[in-house]
Amino acid sequence: MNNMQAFAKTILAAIGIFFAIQIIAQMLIPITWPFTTSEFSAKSLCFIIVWLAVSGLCLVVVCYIFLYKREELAHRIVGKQQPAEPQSQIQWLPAAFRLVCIFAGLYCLFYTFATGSRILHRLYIYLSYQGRVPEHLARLVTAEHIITWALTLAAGVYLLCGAPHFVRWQVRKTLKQCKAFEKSDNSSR
Amino acid sequence: MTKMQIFAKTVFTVLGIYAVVTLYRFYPGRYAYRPDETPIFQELVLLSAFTVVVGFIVYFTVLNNTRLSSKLAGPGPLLESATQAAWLAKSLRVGLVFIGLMLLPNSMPVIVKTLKLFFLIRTTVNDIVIWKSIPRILERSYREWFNVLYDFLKALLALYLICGAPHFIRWQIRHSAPPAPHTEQIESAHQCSTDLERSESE
Repeated sequence: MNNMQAFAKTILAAIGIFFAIQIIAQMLIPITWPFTTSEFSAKSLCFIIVWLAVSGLCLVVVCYIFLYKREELAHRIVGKQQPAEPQSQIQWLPAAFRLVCIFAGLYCLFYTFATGSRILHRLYIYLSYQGRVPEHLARLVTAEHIITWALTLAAGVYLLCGAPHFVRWQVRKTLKQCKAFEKSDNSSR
Repeated sequence: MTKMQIFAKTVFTVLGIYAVVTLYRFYPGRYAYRPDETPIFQELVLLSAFTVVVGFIVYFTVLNNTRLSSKLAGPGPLLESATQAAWLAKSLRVGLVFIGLMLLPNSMPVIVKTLKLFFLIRTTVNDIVIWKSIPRILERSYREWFNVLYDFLKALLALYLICGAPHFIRWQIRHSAPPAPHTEQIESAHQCSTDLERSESE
């Protein structure tokens, strides 16, 4: 294992722990509902069970990928060979961008998970009014909310896949900028 | 500058930008628990004091962080100016793209609202020109306008950072580069070397 793989492994473990804590915190929210609302029915109990099952599944997936399978993931992100010194400067950049994208993708998905739960909760309120929605609740879920949610979800999935086009574009631009600095440095000499 | 100093510089820059966004998010003037009748003068004083504090943070973490980063990183082998510029550009870019992507999910509603605004231009102009009335989307208190401005600027910042913030990186590299020797110093050094060559030939 080279230095870069060890670094990637540590970061992946940190990412896994961070998101596991966030998901556990989200799992705790519906458990408090029976204590905060006076109208607690079998429907809400079903909702809580579904919520806990989905969150638990996400927790298992995150722990499996980022804690159990992190070595394989680190190998896949960084590559197996220890790069030679002049090459290493070029190779660490896409790996770093890729790691950043994966972290941001997970954050986006966590955000959509939280927003989606809010939208579901509002839909649940709609359903509980059985079509006679009061005016102050009528604008709780709009097309704008759903479009925003879908866009964030799409961005999250793309970033989690490593955002290959974005990473390629960023690396190309960065190397171009570095070359421009080298040129200006040489001309000033 | 050493590699660790460059890394520390990037960390300070990212933390500084994140601190600015977070501090304005918790700015007391944004929230409704402050009464609406608060005089505008009082709000302006609060905003100026807040901006001064944020300005200090930005100055020491984003704009002039060389001394702090050298203290944090400690001594190490110095890089050549070209290598230093390349390392600084790459690490700053990775850091800035990271913070931009982290700001993106929160800015997504603003981006969608801004796009939606294009469809509302016609009705808004109609309301103002034909009906001589202020449209509903413009009827806001200054607190709401502050929130709109904050969200809009945050979305713009996120997009700029995702694009790699090339102007900021160029500025940082120009200000972090070792000072170029003065023309007189170069001339005197050149004079010294020619004198030395002459004495050696004699």
